[in-house]
Amino acid sequence: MIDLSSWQLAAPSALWALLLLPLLALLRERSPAGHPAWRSFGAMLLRGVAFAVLVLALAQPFVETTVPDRSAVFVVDASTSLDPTRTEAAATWLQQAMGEAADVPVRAVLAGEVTELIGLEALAGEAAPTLRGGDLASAVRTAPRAGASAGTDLRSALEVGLANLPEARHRELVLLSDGAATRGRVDEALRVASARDIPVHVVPLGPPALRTGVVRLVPLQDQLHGDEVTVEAHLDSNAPVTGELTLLANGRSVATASVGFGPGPHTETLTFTPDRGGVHDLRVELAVAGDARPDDDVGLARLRVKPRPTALVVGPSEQARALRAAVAGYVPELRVEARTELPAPPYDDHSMVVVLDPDLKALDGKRTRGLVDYVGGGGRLLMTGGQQGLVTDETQTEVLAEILPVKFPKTKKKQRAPLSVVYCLDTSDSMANGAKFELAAAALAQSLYLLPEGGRVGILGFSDLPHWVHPLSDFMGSDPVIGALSQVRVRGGTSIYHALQQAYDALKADDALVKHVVLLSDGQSTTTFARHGDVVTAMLRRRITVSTIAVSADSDRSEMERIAEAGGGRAYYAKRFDQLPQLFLDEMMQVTRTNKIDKEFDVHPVVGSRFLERLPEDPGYPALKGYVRGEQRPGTELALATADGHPVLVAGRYKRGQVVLFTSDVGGAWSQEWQDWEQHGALWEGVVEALLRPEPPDRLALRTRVEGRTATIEYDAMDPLMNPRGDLVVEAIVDPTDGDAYAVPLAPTGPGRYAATVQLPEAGAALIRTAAVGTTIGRDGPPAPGGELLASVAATPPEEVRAATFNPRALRRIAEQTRGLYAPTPAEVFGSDAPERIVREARHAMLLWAALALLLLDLGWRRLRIPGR
Amino acid sequence: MPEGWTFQGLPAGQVALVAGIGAALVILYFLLRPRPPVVEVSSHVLWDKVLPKRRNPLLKELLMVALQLAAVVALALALGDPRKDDDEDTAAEQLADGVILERVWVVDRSLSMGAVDADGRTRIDRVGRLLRDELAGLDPRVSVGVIGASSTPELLAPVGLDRERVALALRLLDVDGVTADLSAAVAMSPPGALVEVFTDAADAGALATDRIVIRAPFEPRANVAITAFDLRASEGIPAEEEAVVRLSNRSTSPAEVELRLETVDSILGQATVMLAPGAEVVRRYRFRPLDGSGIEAVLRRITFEDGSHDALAADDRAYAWVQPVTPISVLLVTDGNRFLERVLSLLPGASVDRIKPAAWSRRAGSADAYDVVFLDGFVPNGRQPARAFYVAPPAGGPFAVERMVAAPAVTDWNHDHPLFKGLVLRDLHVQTSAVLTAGPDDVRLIGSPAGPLALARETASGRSVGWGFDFGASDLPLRLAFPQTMVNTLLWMRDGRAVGQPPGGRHALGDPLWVGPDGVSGAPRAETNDEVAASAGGDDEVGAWIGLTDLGQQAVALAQDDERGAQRATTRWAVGDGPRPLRLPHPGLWRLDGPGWSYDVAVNLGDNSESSLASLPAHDGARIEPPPVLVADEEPDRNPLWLLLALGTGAVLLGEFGLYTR
Repeated sequence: MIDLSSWQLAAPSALWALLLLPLLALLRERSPAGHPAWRSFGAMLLRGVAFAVLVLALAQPFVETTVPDRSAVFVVDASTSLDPTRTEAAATWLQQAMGEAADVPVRAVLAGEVTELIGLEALAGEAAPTLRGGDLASAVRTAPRAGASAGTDLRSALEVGLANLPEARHRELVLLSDGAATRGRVDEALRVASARDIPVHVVPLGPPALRTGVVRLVPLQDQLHGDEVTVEAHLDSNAPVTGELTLLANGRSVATASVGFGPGPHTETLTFTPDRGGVHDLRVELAVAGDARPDDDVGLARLRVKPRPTALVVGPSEQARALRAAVAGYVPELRVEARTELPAPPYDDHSMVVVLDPDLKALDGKRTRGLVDYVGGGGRLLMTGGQQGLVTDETQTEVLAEILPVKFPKTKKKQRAPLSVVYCLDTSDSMANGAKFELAAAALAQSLYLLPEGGRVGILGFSDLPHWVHPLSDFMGSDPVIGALSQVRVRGGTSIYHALQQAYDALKADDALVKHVVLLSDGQSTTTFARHGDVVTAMLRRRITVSTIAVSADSDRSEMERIAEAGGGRAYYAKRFDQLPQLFLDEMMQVTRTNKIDKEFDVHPVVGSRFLERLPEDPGYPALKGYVRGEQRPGTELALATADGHPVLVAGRYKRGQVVLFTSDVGGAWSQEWQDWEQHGALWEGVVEALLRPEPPDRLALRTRVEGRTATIEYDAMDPLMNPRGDLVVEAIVDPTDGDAYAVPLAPTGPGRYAATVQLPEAGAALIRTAAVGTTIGRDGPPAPGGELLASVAATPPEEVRAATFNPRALRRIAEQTRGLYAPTPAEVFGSDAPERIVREARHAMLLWAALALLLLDLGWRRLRIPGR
Repeated sequence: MPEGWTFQGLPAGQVALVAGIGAALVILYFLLRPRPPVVEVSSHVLWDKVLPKRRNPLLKELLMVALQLAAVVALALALGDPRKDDDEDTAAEQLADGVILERVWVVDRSLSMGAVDADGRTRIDRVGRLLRDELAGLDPRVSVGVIGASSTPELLAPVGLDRERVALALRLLDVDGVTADLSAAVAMSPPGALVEVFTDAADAGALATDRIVIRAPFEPRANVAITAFDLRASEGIPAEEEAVVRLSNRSTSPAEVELRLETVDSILGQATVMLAPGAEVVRRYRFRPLDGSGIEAVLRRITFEDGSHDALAADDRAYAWVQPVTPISVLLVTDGNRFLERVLSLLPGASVDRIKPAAWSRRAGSADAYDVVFLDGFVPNGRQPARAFYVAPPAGGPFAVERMVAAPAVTDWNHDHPLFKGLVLRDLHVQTSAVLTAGPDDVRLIGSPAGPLALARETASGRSVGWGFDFGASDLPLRLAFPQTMVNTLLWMRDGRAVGQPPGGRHALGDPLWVGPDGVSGAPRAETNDEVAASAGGDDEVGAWIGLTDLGQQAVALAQDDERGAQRATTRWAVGDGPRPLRLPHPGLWRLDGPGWSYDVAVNLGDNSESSLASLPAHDGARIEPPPVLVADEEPDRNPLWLLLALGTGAVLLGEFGLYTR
């Protein structure tokens, strides 16, 4: 029954149209159509009622009903952390909730890869978008899980939910989640909800799920090919688990282990023997039943395995044979590849490169650069001297010269240019004492053998006045010079500048390319630089250089030094005359520019040198018959030296590598006595061992930290006195699985601490090789510590995978902050009191139906025929 | 049904059915109409003159049928209640019209957006104001949302028509973290929306497409930053703290900065540093040992030659912990040994206490506090010092003396032992020495044919050296090796106790700190007995509450006796059954407290890329003009269509009846 008493009219003014009803009667009265009265009356009646009903419909009748003024939105966590069990629990709860919700307008938001509204498309055509319980639960069950990289962003989900709440006086949001948010700050959304008086009810989806995975993989680096390698797999689990751990090297399974661990961290050690040297890609897989998050069950690492030592030996065959014989006893066996010429680079396949008595002038730029790069990248170079003299003049060998631990003077560039040298010897009275003049003369004569062919020499004696002992003439051997010197009588005073004037007069007319004066005196000159020094400057203008040798404590050193400085030469001081031969030799070497010293000498070892470890306490070094003379560079390590400290065996570092220089020869004319020396092999085995042995990273430390794809490398260095080293230039070479290796500088970030960040590949690991490759002070300061530190790093799994699986406290806090319910049943959510609102339900439709029916009835009445009429 | 219209009442099918049935009935009635009878007459001339001209009656019938059909169809349509569809155009339609009704504002929330412009406003404030103005003038049809780009994107206001929500989000815009992942933020936008990216990232131009516009309403600014700061204690000699500060001038003008190192209650030192444009300098400072605490490096005054101001304050501070270092202390027990006294006095930063053997008993209790106790010809009764160096010990001490030997030949040196590291000691002459008896764990340091002359011993309780001969009875004091041996001795004795662990860890702001119920992942934790922060849940509930305290803020509040302020310095975070990635809000010194543990951490920016404010992206500075506000040519739908149809039907009913009666 229709209760018309409850009907109200929205537009009662439409009823005025009822006043048109009499029109129907009027039309009937004045109708000329001649319809039978009963027919026309019936038609009028029906038409009138139809019209009246239509007018009533136009008045928009309605009835008012009260409904709960509430709405709700369900926000469902669809992140990776939700396993099927939790998803089913959420779907079941939602289905029950939809049953309780009845007529309450409800929407749902799925917080997955993208936060989106769900379920509306299925309901098009209804008056207002509502969800059916089965549709919603089905949508939740079948919704694709978000990728692990998407994380759990509860804030965005809440924001979308709040924005899509249907209008009502009482609105509420129901959050179904495990609380393990990894992104966004949910507090901001909760503040908005509180401000709008929207409680957030929380349905916790627990309990904690199994979380197990590989934290990191740490292989022991730089083991020798053929040796077993230990790999540590650091695992973690939040529950006791058992499973299988498999280690793969370059895609091939090499080790497996059954593991049982947890809760908590656990380290499992696996071992395998690599099948080759070089870099290996390792992968460890953990298989645990019931692990809902397999993304973190894989660990990656890169391992460097050192190949069996090989040496590329380049040099004359007899020298190579000698060296090979010397290192025959080295363990592990050193494989030697002998060549007479240095092949083209690269040389990285060899553990060390030995270059015996190289003709450096003949080396092209590509090979010298190749050697430099090889050493800089961590290679070991052993170079020996010999008859070639280790000439480093050429432009292309300059780069190689810079990395050698000995600095050699430049020899003449193209060919030995003619040299004219005048010796000014003090023949004053003082030189008579203790056979000083004889000593000086002998020393001078010894140095003459260094004169090049075509050279000219003159000897000018001076006391009060200068006199030619041996006029400036072509050098025909030492004998004439010695003969002339033996005729000299020493007497008189000391007048240096007259001698220099005479030497100048002789040399200025000479056409030699190199013109030089060596002045020796043991006393005080009667002529001074202040008054007569312009002769020296005049000599220099004509490219006549002057060196001075002041002998004995009575000599005027400062005056002599002034002369040498003004004359562009060198000043020497000898306390005793027996030092003269060395000084003459030094000077002649400087002038003639030759490095080779063909002279027998004794070798002096540096006690405690690591290169001599294999030798007994007193090995009895035989003499050597020659060496290439140079100056030891600062910061290098001397092992063997001449009596006057010139290096014979010396080692230095260049970036990541080492260079050892033996300035004499091996198996050549200079080291003949060494061939039969019983310790010869032990010496070279010790050198090879020290060269190939990894430098212990004393007081060095490398730490890496990885977050996502960003790795932070931190390098720590201290000096032998345990103080931080802040003067280093540190570099890391990053060698990723896919891609080329590249260098990254580490900047100072703290005392003795250097750091850099690198981006890791998405798949695979990277091998980090860190070393101090120099210092900011340069070669004059303490050398950089040797030793390369290795670490393997790989990107970490997404935060979603590493994070907790269940955080009920965070969920409870969400509910508390918004005065919502925690873990409510559907009945508790929708059964609570809510304000009501009045809803108008239109009733015009039934009136329209009535009008239509009456119209059709009216038309049918007109066709009604009474039989007989 | 035309596009954009739907039936709210009867569905379209039913409307058609009703209309069809009604129309069929009408037509049937028409076909069943009564025909007038035909009467034959002889002539119609008279009838023509009498009867009025009449139209064909069929026309009237047809007209009536048309009106009846119209009424039926109108009523059927009225029952269907047709209404215009309010749904928004599809994106394609929007484009076809030239109007984009969905707009997303992506706002860079990286550190550089906190840079202050010439007018004193930060860049992000400027963006917020700009967007609030644009929001006010936006066409009401346009849906707009705001996404914040930090290390992970955040939906600050969903795309919609809720202007209030958007305005709130714009008012609350702030810098978050260090870097911004603009690509991820743009990817959060709905497809088809116009995305405006407000950023100062120099490489943001690569994101621009026809639907993504880069806007950078900023100007290049000058900035000097602290790009690294750390402290470390020296484990060697002297015992000192060393601080390294790295400064970078990210501007085109030379700068002079005043750098200060401060603790909570004192200024350790300050220096003026000159920086060329684009230069990065490293400064090292040394201090005497400090008590373990936090230190802050601050740029107090920054002056640019061209008059600019430092735009970004966030990178003008950095934090580090003081690593505790034990000052070097030596106790010399001797009646007089000038060699030993002299060489010990030369040790930099060492405090040397000298006592006579007779006074030993008074000092015995504190002997273990020294790094090494030199006992010169003396062996104490009873307990020996933990770290002792016995010089020419008499018999009866911890190093047994076998016999005395005159002029022993020194044959071996243990260069592997730390005491002799780096030393060369050839041809040492000793006048007289005790030959010591080596114990099972003793290490021979110096040997002779008669036996060991010096031994080193390491036990669980400490380290000791027995030196068989008086230094003065040898030429050792004349050698360079002598002071080096003493230094090596000190280093060996101090090994492991010279420095302590820093009171806290180091962390970069942009990285998450993984915090679980058991502590911070990968970090050592300090065990505490403090009560756990009160849990709002049950005791057996999974996870724990973690307290996060800004130590700087707390210290300032406590200094001002502001208890509430001190409490506000601590926030609580819930962690679940495993680690939670916690992102700290700003650099500083922080403390995390969990159940039975605590962890202090110095947080610095880490990534220095945001300190470069001089370059901006290639951008479209002009605002995107909103679509013109259309003149509404449609009145709001106050009269639904069914009303009009019913009204029309009523008129038809009257009209048709009138025709019927004609």
